Amino acid sequence: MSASESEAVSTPKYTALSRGLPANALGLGLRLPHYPYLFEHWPELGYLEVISENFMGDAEPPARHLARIRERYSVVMHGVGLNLLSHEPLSETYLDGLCRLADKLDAPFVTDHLCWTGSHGYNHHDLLPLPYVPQLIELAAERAHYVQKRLDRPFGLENLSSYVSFNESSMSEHEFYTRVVHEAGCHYMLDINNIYVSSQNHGFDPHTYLRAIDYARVLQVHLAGHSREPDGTIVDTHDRPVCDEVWQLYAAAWQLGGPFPTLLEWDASIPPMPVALAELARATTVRTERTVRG
Amino acid sequence: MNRAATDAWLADLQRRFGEVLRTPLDAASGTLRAQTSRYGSPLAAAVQGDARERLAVYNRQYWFRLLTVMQTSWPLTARLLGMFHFNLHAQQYLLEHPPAHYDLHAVTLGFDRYLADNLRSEAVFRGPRDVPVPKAILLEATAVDAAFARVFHAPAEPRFDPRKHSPNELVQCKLVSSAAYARVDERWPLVELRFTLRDDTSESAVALPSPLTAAQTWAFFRNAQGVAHLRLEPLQARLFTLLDRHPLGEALAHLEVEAPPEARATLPEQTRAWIAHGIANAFWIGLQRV
Repeated sequence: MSASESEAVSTPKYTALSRGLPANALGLGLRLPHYPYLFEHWPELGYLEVISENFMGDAEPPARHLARIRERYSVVMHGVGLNLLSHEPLSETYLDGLCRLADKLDAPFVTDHLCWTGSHGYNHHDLLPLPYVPQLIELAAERAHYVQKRLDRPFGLENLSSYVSFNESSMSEHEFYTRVVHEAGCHYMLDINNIYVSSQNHGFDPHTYLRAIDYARVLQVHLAGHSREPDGTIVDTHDRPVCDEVWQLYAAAWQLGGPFPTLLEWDASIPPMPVALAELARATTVRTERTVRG
Repeated sequence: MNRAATDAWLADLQRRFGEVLRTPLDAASGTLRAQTSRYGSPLAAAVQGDARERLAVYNRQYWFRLLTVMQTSWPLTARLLGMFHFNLHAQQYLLEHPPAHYDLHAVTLGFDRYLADNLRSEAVFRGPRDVPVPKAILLEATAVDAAFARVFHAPAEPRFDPRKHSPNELVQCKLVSSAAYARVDERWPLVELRFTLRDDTSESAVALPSPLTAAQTWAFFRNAQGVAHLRLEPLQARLFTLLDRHPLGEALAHLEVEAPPEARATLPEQTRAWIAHGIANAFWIGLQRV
């Protein structure tokens, strides 16, 4: 029996990292248009991921819906507002809200991005890049370590998709990323689509990137679709199916370090939930084919 | 580089990047375009390759994300103006009130006040041919959108249970309104228009509705499906206004005096039904001693 066949029939492995999620779990990013289908059909799904900030406020409807969902599924949290690499200190108010939500959901893990999102009193609501320089490794690692301690659960940093690179950068993105995660003692939230997008925009080898990752520290992998601007820049739009090149990278990552929980993000032009679930199910096929071929 | 020097370098870089993001999009061509020539040279020089075009991706993303959340939060206002003209007002508002909170919805709060303060000395245009729209309709539309958003985003609150209070308490105390309940008055049929537009993804300006023969009041409140709306009878609306200001006993007395003679016979029964409906739909959360 091949590794892929045994995956389908045996009891899934549970990793200490993911605190109860099957190591090969398939999950979907929960978005508003999913609610009607979800509440009617409760499809079989390894877990759901919520955008943390959408549920940190006081509004009652999101909290009520999430409580219903949590009764049936494990829910992990993915943030877009931590602002890890701002020149300003982390917001303790924000972290209080994050911790409250993580406790309420008993979230197996929490993730956010290795980036900055605001400065000088502004919140730009975007995941913004910086030069990859040694002096930022210490800052990022200290803060990520602190966040993980505050959360009292595994915290993962996601690699960014970016459209600019800086002359001041003195190391590769993957070197910067792996050193931050290592020094922080935190985890990877490895976005395969982001690796592809940035590799195309900046001209690096995505396979070298994948080989640099310590897969024992990967909390989960993200997959998504992207679009191409007229000038050739690839933008991380999450508005379509995953492209073949990203599936190939996913298969390569699985071979290098699988199993790991895998999640599909679809944030714009969101299709009916069965379409998203079918796209997610391709992950099993892709890694099975690859394992059999390999 | 020590930590202080790193912080200063980072602050400078992030200030410059933030300025690029907030550079307004140009609408002169009829579509919103990035003005790459306005980006600061030091940042452009720090970025590899075709720096200005790459920075424009972030500049456009910043604005499209904010304009989308504005359109979502102010759907009726947006469709009365048409998206292009709405975006121009929204962009100006966002330049003066850029986002500061991690909750993206927070940036939308205050657009109604901004329009009310800024439209007095401006003509308001809409649609592809720059047809003027009466400001009064537009401001009424912002009130409808704002009420809907207030109700949707209200926190969970305890329900008012009259059985927990003595008859004396009920009569002598004021009812405390729930944050998840709002009333709006309208002179144009905008509330129903808002709900009919819910599944309409068009960006064009909708036809301006004709004014109503008489103003009417709607209640917005939450139910299991989301935000519900109910058109109130004139006396029902008056009762709820009186309940905002007076203890229950006084409100009922005022209503009886104000009601036209032909309505007085059925008023007690109607009043009981209106209040019971309000309690059942959590319009109030408790009593306040006066």
